[in-house]
Amino acid sequence: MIRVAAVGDIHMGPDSRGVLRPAFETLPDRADLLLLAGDLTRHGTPEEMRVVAEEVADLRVPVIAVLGNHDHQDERPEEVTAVLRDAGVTVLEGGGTVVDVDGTRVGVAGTKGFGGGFAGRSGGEFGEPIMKEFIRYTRRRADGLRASLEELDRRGCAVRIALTHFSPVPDTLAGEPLEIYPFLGSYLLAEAVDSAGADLAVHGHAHAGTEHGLTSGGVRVRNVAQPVIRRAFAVYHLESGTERGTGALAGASR
Amino acid sequence: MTDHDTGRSGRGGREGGADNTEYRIAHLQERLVREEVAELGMRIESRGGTVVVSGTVPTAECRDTVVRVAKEELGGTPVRTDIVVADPTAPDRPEELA
Repeated sequence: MIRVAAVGDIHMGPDSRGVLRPAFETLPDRADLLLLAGDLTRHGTPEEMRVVAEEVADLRVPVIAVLGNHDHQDERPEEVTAVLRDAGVTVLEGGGTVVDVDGTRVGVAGTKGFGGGFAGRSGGEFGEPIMKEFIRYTRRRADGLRASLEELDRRGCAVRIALTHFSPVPDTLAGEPLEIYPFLGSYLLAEAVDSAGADLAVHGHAHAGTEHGLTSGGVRVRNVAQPVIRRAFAVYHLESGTERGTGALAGASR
Repeated sequence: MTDHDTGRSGRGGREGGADNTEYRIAHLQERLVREEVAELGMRIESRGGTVVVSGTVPTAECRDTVVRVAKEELGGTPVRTDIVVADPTAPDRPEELA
């Protein structure tokens, strides 16, 4: 069994220094890895990210993160990424990483993702250059996620997790105003997850959404935005493909 | 749709500026994003003659800031707030995804 802890949208700043540390220090007893689903800061400044880094440094479980839109606000994504990496955090954008959990290879593929909307109600690559770029930007991130999940499969991962900030499905947005769904996620992310296969998709971003969802290909989705899970983190217990006996879920719609 | 249908004041711009609750809510939303809290997650709605601001923020300081900015921006309009500070405790149980 693989124990996955996850939280997003912790929006830390100088006034929240140390707030999550006591809960995070219990992680070695509860989880095999911690996923951070973006919006770790409020304005994306190195100063704010240093608060996050102190919260997660030396936790004795691997910490894997993607950035969120807030972490881009100060337009220094490389700098804030470096702050996290210096604290030992693996930061993903269109890449993957493998964690060995008692001999089981657990792969995490990550991207911030972006918006555009959901199937049948989405923006398209049409018209003004800025509109085309909006959707192309999302498509590039979805393509990176798909390629990373496929690579993790080739690397023999028994469990694969897709980590994003924006949502791959509308299910986990329930509670948000319908009008803003196109700014909360994109079906392109779900399509990438379903075509490459995964055991779990974790995202944040939608504070008023709900925790549970499913892609149309049957991959479970969890919105771990802290206002949604109402705790320092959520923990999900996953069986590996070997334990399931088939691995069918991971390849359900490949 | 006409002004009568929507109930909006401000036909011809007479009361369409500072007194228009719809625009004031939009301006409050923009200000919360722009200023120190960078808060995009607040739900701000007009209900009856009041404006309700609700949502979850990371700290009590953020909540105080949101309340202060809301009262400044909506000055004169009654404001009700229902803002929760995020719970930083560890979960009491995991979810089994068999």
